[in-house]
Amino acid sequence: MKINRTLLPYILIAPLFILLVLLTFYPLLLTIFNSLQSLNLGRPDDIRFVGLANYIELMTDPAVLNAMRNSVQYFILSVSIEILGGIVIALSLRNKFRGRAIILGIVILPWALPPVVNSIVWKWIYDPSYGLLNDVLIKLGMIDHFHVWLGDPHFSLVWVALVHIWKMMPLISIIMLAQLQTIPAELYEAARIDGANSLQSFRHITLPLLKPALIIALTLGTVSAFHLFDEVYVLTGTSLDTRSIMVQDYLIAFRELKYSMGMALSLIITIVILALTWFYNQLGKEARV
Amino acid sequence: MKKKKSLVLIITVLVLATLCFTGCGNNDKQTDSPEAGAKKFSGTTLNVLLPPWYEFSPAMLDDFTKETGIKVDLQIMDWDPCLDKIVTSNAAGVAPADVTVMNWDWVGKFGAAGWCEPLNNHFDDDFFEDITTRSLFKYKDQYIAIPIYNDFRVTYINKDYFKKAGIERMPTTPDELMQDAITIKEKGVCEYPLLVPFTATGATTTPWYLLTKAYGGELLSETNEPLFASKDSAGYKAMEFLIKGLKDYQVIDPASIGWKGTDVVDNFKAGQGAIDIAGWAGNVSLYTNPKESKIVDSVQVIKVPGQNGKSRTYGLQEGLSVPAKSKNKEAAVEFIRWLNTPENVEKLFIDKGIFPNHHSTIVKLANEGKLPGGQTMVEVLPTIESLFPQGVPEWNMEFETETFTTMNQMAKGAMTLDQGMNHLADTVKKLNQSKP
Repeated sequence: MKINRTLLPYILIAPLFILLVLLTFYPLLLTIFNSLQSLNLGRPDDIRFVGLANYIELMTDPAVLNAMRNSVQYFILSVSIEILGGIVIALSLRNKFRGRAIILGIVILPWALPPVVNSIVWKWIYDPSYGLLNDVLIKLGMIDHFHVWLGDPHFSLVWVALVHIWKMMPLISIIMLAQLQTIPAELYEAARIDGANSLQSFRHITLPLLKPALIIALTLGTVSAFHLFDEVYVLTGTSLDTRSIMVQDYLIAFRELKYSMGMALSLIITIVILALTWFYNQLGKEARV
Repeated sequence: MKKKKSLVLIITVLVLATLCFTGCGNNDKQTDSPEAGAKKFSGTTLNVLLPPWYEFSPAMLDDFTKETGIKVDLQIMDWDPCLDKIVTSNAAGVAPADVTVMNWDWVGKFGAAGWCEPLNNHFDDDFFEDITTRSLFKYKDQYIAIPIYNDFRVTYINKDYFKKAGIERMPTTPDELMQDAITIKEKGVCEYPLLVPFTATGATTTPWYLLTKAYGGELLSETNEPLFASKDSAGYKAMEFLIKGLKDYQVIDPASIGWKGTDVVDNFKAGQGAIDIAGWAGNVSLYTNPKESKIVDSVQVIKVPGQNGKSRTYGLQEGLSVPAKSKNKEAAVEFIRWLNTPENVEKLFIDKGIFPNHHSTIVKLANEGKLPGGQTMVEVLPTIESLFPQGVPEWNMEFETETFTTMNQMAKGAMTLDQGMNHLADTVKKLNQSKP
């Protein structure tokens, strides 16, 4: 039996489409609908339509605004360091050398570890009584007494961000490395003949041709920074100065049992991430033009 | 005549059968011992989710398996992750396990959400009668958990450190206690004598709640208004005690900003501290167990030092519940019933420090001299109060989260004492306003 050629593509994408409808579009629509209700497990009999009340309450809640501010700081810190560090690591591993494969394996290790394991390891490293960080810094003479690293309200967010960066940077490095390896060596050869130095080659050849990978890395870094939960929760619990927007969402939905409000906040987070992703795409388009 | 005889025979048989079945029914409820249900659920694997202090020995669980044929898969998680798993699973319509821990202050929310199997029909009245704390787990006339840990707080002292610092008498007021801690530090006996957690998790709230009682006050009024905002209130003095202990007198380890409740226990039993101010009553057996503790001969349990020498404490009872979505409810009930046999209740106290709820067991332990610090415990038991005499506010979980977060901020210096207390008072006012 010959299948109609115009029908074939639809048949082929049908399973994926059905899965998308069931696992993405339906839950999304349900979340949007429920975010406009007063669904609260503490008051199961009081479910009514409240319009945008949940969104308005969230946007004026100091705890939500504080968590959003923290998440923006996580985003700026981690994305910038991950991108810069990723490029440096990728450039160092670009050329083949003895032991490169082993180093590549070691570099990818933090990314392969589950985030909770990662965080527990770092909790021990930061521990104020027997942590490795205090021990090393004291032996190097850089500090004279043990510090409570995660107890410092001004820097605890940075320490948590570093744990996240340590986990994400390997992935960004591999993405950058893959893109770097697609750049033809002849371009650098020609540039060298024309008298370009290394910095000029990087600025005029490497960076422009890295842009597709940069857009992917920026998107991944942004999504993971706004989704930051495990590291924050394991290292500092629900502490205000490190609380991310995802931890705040968790508290609203699963401690206060305000499901509708939790869903509304998750939609706000989604919109923020989508807006940033759109912006990156625009940057990518401009680069291609 | 023949018809009449047959009718009489039929009625007699029916009456006998009814009596017989009624009797059987009653028997089922009244005397359904582990033996009676033995092997009924053989081959079932029971998932049990509990915090670390319930880490039953494999030998104990093997005994249960031998008796009933039911295997137990015991999952141990810290208190907050345990709560996380219970809430998220139940909310998703999945049983977090077949048996889970239940805290006294979760009852309202969990009951309203319909997450727990009512247990009235599974246990007889005599069973409940012996459990003094049973009413705490009642939601709308249904017991949604069976009490297991009769937790209340006492103060533990390392008397060797006190003696080394030249202190002979035990403290009877909070101010004396603080002065003793300062003396112990100044004499170089122990750098951080007072053990208190300050991490942003649930255990951080307990010392404040307890000290508020000790200073002779309550957290909330009859109408759930905050009573701790003014500087002369018990709640304010209690928080001042803790924050000054950390910041000004430095008798509390700055590392406590990252400590959970179990870290306090671990440090105290390792001899790294002189005072466990809000110690779990059951830890008396842990601290006096040579296999677990380095302070067996130096630990002393005293009543929580209170204002004008009047000690007060409150109960933080824990129970065991069966999630409504569990597929092994009957086997789960068998496990709870088995844990509540007199010999196991006693064993749990002696081995794990799980203080019994059964009145008969407490009396037996005291009479047999198996209750370390027995006299103090017996004196404290009748004085245990409810944290909220007016009833647990429906927003207690939110208040608790805000309290430990704020205490953590004050400990870090991100909030002053006044800012923190005002913030908590405002939080209570807002929570009251959000009532339907």
